[in-house]
Amino acid sequence: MVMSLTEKRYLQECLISKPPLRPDGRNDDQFRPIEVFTDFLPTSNGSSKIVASDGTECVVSVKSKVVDRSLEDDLIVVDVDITGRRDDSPLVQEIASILNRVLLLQIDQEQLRLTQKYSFKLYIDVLVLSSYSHPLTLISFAIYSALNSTQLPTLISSEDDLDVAELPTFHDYDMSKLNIDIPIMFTLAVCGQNVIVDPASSESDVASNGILVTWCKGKVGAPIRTLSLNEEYTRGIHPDRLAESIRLIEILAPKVLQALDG
Amino acid sequence: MVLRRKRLSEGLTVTQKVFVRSRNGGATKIVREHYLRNDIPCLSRACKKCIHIVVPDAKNELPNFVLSESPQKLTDGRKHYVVLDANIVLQAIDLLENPECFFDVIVPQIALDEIRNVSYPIYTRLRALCRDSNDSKRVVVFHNEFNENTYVERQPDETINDRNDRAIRRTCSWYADHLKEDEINILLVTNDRGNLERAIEEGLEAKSLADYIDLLPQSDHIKDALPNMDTFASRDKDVEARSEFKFPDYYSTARVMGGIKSGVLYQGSVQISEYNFLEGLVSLPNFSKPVLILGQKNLNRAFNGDQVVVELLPQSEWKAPSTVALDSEHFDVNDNPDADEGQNDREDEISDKQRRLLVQDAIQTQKSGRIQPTARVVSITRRSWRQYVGQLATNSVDLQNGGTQNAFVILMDKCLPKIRIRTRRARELLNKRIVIAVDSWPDAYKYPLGHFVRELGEVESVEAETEALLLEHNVEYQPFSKRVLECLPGEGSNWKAPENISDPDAITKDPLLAKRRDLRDKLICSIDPPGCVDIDDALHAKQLPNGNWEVGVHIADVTHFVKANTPLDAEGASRSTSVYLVDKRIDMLPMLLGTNLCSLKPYVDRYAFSVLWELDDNANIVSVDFTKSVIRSREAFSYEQAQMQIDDQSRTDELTQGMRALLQLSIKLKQQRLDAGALNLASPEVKVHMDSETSDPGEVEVKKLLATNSLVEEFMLLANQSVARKIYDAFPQTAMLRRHAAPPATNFENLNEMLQLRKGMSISTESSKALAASLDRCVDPSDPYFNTLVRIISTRCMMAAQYFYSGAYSYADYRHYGLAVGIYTHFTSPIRRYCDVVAHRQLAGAIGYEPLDLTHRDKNKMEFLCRNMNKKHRNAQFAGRASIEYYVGQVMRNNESVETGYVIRVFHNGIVVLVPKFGVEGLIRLENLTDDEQAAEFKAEEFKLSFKPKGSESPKDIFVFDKVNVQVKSVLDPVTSKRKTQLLLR
Repeated sequence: MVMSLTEKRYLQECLISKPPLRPDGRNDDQFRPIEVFTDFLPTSNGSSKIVASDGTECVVSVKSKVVDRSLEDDLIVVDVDITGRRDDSPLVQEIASILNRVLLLQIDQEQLRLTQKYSFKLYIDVLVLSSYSHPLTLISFAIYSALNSTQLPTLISSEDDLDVAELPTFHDYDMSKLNIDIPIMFTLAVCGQNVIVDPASSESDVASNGILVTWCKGKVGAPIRTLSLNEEYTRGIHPDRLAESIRLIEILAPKVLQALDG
Repeated sequence: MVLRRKRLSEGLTVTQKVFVRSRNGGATKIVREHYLRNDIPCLSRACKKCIHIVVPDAKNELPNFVLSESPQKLTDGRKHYVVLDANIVLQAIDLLENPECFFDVIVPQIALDEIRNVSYPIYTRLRALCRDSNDSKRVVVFHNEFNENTYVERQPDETINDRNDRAIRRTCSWYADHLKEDEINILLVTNDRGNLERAIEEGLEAKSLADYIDLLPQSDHIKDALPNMDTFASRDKDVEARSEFKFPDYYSTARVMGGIKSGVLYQGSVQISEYNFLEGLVSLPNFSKPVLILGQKNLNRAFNGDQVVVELLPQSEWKAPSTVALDSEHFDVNDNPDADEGQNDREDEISDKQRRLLVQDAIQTQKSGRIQPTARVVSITRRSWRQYVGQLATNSVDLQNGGTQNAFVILMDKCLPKIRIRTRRARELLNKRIVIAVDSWPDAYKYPLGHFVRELGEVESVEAETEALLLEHNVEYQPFSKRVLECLPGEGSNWKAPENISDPDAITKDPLLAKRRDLRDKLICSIDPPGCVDIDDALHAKQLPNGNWEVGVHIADVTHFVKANTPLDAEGASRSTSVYLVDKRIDMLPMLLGTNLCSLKPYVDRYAFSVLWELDDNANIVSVDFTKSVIRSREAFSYEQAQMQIDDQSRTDELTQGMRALLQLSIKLKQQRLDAGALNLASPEVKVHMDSETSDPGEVEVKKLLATNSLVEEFMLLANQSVARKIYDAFPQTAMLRRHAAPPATNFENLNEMLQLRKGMSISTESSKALAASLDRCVDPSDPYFNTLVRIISTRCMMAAQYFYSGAYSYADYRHYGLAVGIYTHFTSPIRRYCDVVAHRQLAGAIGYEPLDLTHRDKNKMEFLCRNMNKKHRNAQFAGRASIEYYVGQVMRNNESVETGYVIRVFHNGIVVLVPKFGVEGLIRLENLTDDEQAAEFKAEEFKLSFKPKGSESPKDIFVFDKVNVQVKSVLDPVTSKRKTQLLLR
């Protein structure tokens, strides 16, 4: 939605007032409703589709491969595709690099280990079908749901193959649930003294900055960083906003996870 | 995993099949769409419902309702259909084919799939049964997986076998329900305990195979043919055979795959030594020599020819090949626990890392010294089990026992262990040749378990022995089927070549006729062994005005009658070669073709494929031409007749002149070949003369060679080479060729060592020319036969020649080492060899006579053909030799004599002697050489055995190559009731 200068000015005034007045009437700590579907792609190991109320839609598929650990360093690869954006556009590259970094940083690769020699490698494909606001939070929720529903082949050969070489052999039908700690990420918009969660696209357009907060293993974790949401209004942030963001997420994250797990 | 069914249209539903495929350590999740239909009929004639649902297939034919409306009744009088579990088919296919039991059989598709995965030969036999038994046994496949009423979805935590068993039970219950009104009972037969119990729980009628046979009216007959499995029923009863003895477990697939990938395990096929059935060799990649496997436990239930995975043993257990001769029939006659066992229980604690280092050592060791790396079998990839011929071991049969008992069967193939069978007819079967099948070899059993299939007849009767050796060598000897015979020309033996090949009528019948050349004016004759009826080849020679010679080789035009992709062609390809036994010939092609229409008989017009050369006086090729032709042979000579006619100076007619020219040219050709380094090897070939009235074997004669033999041979070689070059030019990737690899020097090591030590001679293997020359030098002035002996032993060191397609090797490897030519094929005997048929078709394609069929242009199909040809060719040779051996035995039965023999091998406990007069060789055991076995001394490095001969005090030394006098007689072995030549030193 393209807004005139006056409209933007008005919206900005509203958002910096205390408490903020959001165009859709939400509180500063309220998310927009989302719909999540999981495990609907039969050929992948795990999948999810998430649709936000503004029409932003994202599909994630998780596939696995058995690799020799000594030959592969990174056991998780995320590939992001956003409709209407080139693969080398800054947005796509930024999101892909954030996701790759977060997942590699936060997920303990030991949890993907099969045997002494072999591991699973996860290929996470993210497809954003339509996006009206910054899609990172949504993508992160979708990845969370997809990984949560991921079923990997069950190993039936022995796990110790260092002294006695064995090729991993799997059960022909049964799958085991993937058991890893999955990080999720929240985007917050800073508007003056206020911090609001899950900014809609109009809110992003006038926000003075964005903050990305990662939540993993029951606490806020790295990376916590700023995220430029627009080009016109971006300016520095006060450290208090950062503290406030973290406080907000510490309250909200358990509730969001509960909702996604349910 | 949620599986959904979605209706696509009336009668068609789609669902998904999901499974995980482990391959090379990876895991792939595979999802397949699976369509379910409602128009699959039950195929019972009694059913009144299915007739309304059937739809025509792609050929617009309706399915054939096969199952009888009044099927066989059980002893309690109820009509029944049988539903088979896969394990029944796999274990008891012989019983299914038995015409006395199993009528109206339903094979669920899921069982058929499993059978195909486990054993393709059994699958094809079952398919043949389904196809051919509609009027007799009535076997149908019910496609339960595609029928929406019988399809079952896999449940969580259910193994695939459980799911398939459930699918079979579902099929049974559907059938039972479907045919309830028609009062036909459905009986599930399975040997799977779980399936059986669950079926009974679900209220189905289910029986184990043995219980089912008991319910049949004529059960007593059939019981003997029951497979002998280590089933749940027999496991409890059968304690005696399972002593404390136990074979090591096989490795898991994961371990085998991982081991092979990381280079600590190796895969190869086992070859059991013919002198010692507890010693095997496995040829492995990376190793220059085969690796030894010694002892029962290390062989770990491997049969001769099995594809196995082996693991090297630690260095401390590496050994020299055994110098003891041992065969299964004399080993453990009373089946005592083996004294050697038990010592072998070693702690196997080397890690894979050490094992990899061990491989390096092993390869090094092979290159030096006599100590050889040894290995043990850890897994069997593919069994070579087939039906075997043997006879009951007399001492294993309890003559007092009239009921079912266990007995040992000693197989004719002495590389194989004896087989344990259960039979109630043991007394009856004594002294009969019987066919048995091997069922299983559980680790707690010392001997494999098998079951009786059928009897062939009395031991030593001609019929039984002939059939036995055909079966043993896997020769197809059944009469040609109707489908094959239907491919023969309708005119039968009245078929005639057209009088005039430009006759328009004849050309409309056979448009290719116009491309034939009329060679009926040439003076063609054939020269063959006496009594030959399948004449493949004929020759002619004529002087040209320029002084050169026109020479023609005319080969029977078999491919005119045997067109590609007909049942006749398939049968020929499968048999691949005719098999010649002493008193019998097993033809590759039906008689009508082999001995009549294709045979180039004299005085009649025949189609031929001709190779025409212009040769100069020194037999150099000036030009060559190939053409399909019509010929008329003027005369069919035997070798002797031809020789006589050539020698008879009074004959100066054109035909004789031509034959003389051929002889002269052939001598020059032979000289050229020998100059190039062609080998002149020898094998102790003998011929058995049959009494023409009683067809009893009369006497044995060593084959003689006449100049006319080599006349024909030289021109055939020339034709084969010319054709090979031509088809290679036309089809560089798939030309049908034959090669003979140079023998690796290691093959000659042993012989060279023996020659060096005993005679101060040596054989060079650098090239075939060097080999030929060094063989010529191996002459012992005091013994003219010595040279032949060396040639015989050298022949055994050579590689076997093999058929191949040109794409399989590079040009340099096409060489035929023995003939010393660069490229070679078989073209000249299409009546009795399939290779020649392929070569004919390719040559016809190359000269533009007719387009070459696609099957001979496809590398994969050619590969398959070649492999079969090589196998069948070898089998045919062995069968022929075995037949001669049998008859030689019969001859010697009547005349015992003392002959000259040569020692060709020396063992710890005996010597092997070859008797040239009869072409037989045999082991003389130490106990037959001396009274004092302890005093005998064996020196492996000197090839010497010293002992005190019977009745003498002075010790005697026997070396390899020694000329000895032996008493030759034929004896019947009391243990095996096998007749064999017994040699005794004089």
